[in-house]
Amino acid sequence: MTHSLRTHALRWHATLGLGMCCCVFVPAAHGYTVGITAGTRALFLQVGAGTMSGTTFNSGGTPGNNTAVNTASVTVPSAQLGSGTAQAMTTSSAVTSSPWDGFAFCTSPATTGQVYVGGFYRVPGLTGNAATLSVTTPISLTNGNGDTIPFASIAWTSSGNSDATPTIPSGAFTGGAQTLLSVTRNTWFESCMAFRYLNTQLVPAGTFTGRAVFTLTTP
Amino acid sequence: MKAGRLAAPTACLLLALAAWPAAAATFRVDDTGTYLSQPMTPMRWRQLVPGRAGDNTVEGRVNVALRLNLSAWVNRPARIYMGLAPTEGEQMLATWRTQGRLLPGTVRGGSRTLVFEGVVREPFLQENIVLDLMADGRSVERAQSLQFFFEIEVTP
Repeated sequence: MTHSLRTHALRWHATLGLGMCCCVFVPAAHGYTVGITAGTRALFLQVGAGTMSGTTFNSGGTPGNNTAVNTASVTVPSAQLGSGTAQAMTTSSAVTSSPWDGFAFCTSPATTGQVYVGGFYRVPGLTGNAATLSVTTPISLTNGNGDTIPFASIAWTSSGNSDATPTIPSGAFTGGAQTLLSVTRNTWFESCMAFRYLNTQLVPAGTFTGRAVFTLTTP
Repeated sequence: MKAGRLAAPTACLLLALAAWPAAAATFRVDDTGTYLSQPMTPMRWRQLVPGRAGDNTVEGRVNVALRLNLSAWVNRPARIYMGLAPTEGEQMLATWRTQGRLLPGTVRGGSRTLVFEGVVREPFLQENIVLDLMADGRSVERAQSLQFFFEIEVTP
């Protein structure tokens, strides 16, 4: 009786073993798959002074965050106040070369007042909207007494060495948010902006200040 | 005389056909046991910054340990091809280096390239290849699966 039970148990195990062999059957593979991911997204904007570890982008440089705020300023001679003769502004920016390759893109900011503005928008894919370069200014520049000058009194001329047509169009501030450029996907852009005060009105004495904030926005 | 002139090219043609009969049969090769060094290969911009020249190439690299089951064709002359199924958008270009058991080469999506020609000597062909992938990054918008495969051509 005991012997018979053992035999039965052994058979059961054998049957189980066969079943497991069937379960581990692996079908033939006729090819292998390489999974890939798309390239990364990246965005860069430099207005005036920038920071770069290494020399330039095209030689492997890596940009850093530069919090410096450059100025564009002018002192209007009293004899010229409100004359309508535009007054060229000078800048604290000393940037002449493109961070892309070091090319001398702007001309002597100390004498021309040119402020370098450049960047790029990198994104995989062919479809989708462009990035937007915009600038926001308050309605007016103000002095310590609360006197104002419309920000629209400041205009700029865009240029760039070897650029037949400036990338960022010339224009004037509007005293609010305004679009400067639609930045096509996967392109580099840069311009040198020389500011001028239009000087069309008499204003009280004083130092009038205001800040223009440039923003590059992705869709 | 005219018949003699025609005889030479005809003979050449016949010889060529004899070297590789047109009726060669093609089979997909079982590559069970092939594995990759990484499950996902990130494609990186050759130049992250799109400069004035606008280089939009993305590149990726993966090591592949191949194991081709050729047991059905041992001692038979054969040609083996590595193929890449059609890819989304811009054609992917795959280039590989080998350790000598297979030929190095390049293949585009939707085509195949010869990697072996000769008599199959072993039931399993094992080879490690370094696979470099390249494409226009503007066309590689999302993660994809690239389907590589092997085909063998043998005479009946």
